[in-house]
Amino acid sequence: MIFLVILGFGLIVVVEVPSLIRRQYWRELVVFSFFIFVGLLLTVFLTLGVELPYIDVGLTKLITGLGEALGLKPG
Amino acid sequence: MEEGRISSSQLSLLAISYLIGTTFLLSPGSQAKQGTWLTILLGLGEALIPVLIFTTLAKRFAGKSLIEINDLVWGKIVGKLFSLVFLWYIFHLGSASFAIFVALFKTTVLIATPEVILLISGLLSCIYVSKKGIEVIARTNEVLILITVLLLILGFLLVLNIFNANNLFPVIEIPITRLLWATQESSSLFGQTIVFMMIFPYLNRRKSCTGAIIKGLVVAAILLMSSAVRTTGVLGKISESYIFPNYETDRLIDIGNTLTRLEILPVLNFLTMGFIKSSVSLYVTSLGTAQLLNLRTYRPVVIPLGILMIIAATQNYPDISSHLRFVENIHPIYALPVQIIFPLITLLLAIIRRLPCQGENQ
Repeated sequence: MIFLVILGFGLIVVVEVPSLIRRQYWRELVVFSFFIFVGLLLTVFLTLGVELPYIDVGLTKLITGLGEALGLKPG
Repeated sequence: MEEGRISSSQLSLLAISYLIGTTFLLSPGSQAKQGTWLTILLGLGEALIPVLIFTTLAKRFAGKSLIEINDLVWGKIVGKLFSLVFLWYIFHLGSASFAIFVALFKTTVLIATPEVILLISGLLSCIYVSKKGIEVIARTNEVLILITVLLLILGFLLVLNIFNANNLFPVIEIPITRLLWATQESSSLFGQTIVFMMIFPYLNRRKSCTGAIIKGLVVAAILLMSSAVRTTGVLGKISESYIFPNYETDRLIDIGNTLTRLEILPVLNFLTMGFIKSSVSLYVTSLGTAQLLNLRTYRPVVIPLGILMIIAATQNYPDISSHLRFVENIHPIYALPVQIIFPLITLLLAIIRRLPCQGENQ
């Protein structure tokens, strides 16, 4: 499965990167590489079964926490 | 960065699709039971406040996107922070749209298909249109929304034989505080039109943005209200216990034992409108990121951000009912800074600082 993930990401790099280098879009290449690297890392984590935090749960904690800090009662 | 231009009517149609994209399935304000349609109507009225604030801001800085306006008014550092919060919000909306797409397909029509296949196939089409630009998204939407509205009207007509108007009464059965909260919930969903702050610069007549967005809001509210009346009239009080009440309503269609099981209709509607919502979110996130980081083109970041969006979709919520609770209880507060507070203080500061200066505006 990891092999498929790396193959998929490799395909994207092969399709996107040559045109960026040809046009000398270096800044764009750095941003692209950063996001692709983060994407690859997270996909590998998910494939290996690592449990990542849920966005809605995190936001709920953040907002209720802020509300309590401001002295507002939940609900 | 973007060469395409769209007309104000195309913007209105995009706003309709964006608003009914996911809300058509997860009916907003459903905690108001029979009064759902009323909360949508009140929410529409309330949503005019943020809409007027951000369209006034857009007209003041004609030709500038929200990212550029933030930079101009707040300076590089604070402006970028505000923009980052805005982009996160739109990114989250896009990922939620993908997540609901998977939840619907996994529980209804494509039960055995792996989640990742659904996500990748959805993402590929979104990446394609996002890379083509706003003009292609707007033109695709013109065709898709026509089909959706026709299917919605057809869906309404087909349930007339099982529609019970008594189910709609009493209209207000819940305490007034809960009704107001449900109104706030609907309003925050309409306020999602803030996403178009990134698209206003590509309007061929920039002054028409307020009218275009309000037209979109009104039509979307009418469609959502009719859908809420339909589900309440057919399902009665139990409609709020379903996750996808529209899907359940279409299941009950029975015209002379011949025309039955038409639950594919809401799935088709969601497929088209959800696609537009995800595409606009991906396009705006990519365009905004490119402007935030001073890139010459947004196209190279579409694929990586799309991948991050579907990863976020898998990590959005543990189950769909917890997402419904999030939309009901947390989203109205979560959306407040992006939809009202930031645009309002930006507008006030722009007025105090007498921005934009002569020559800065196009």
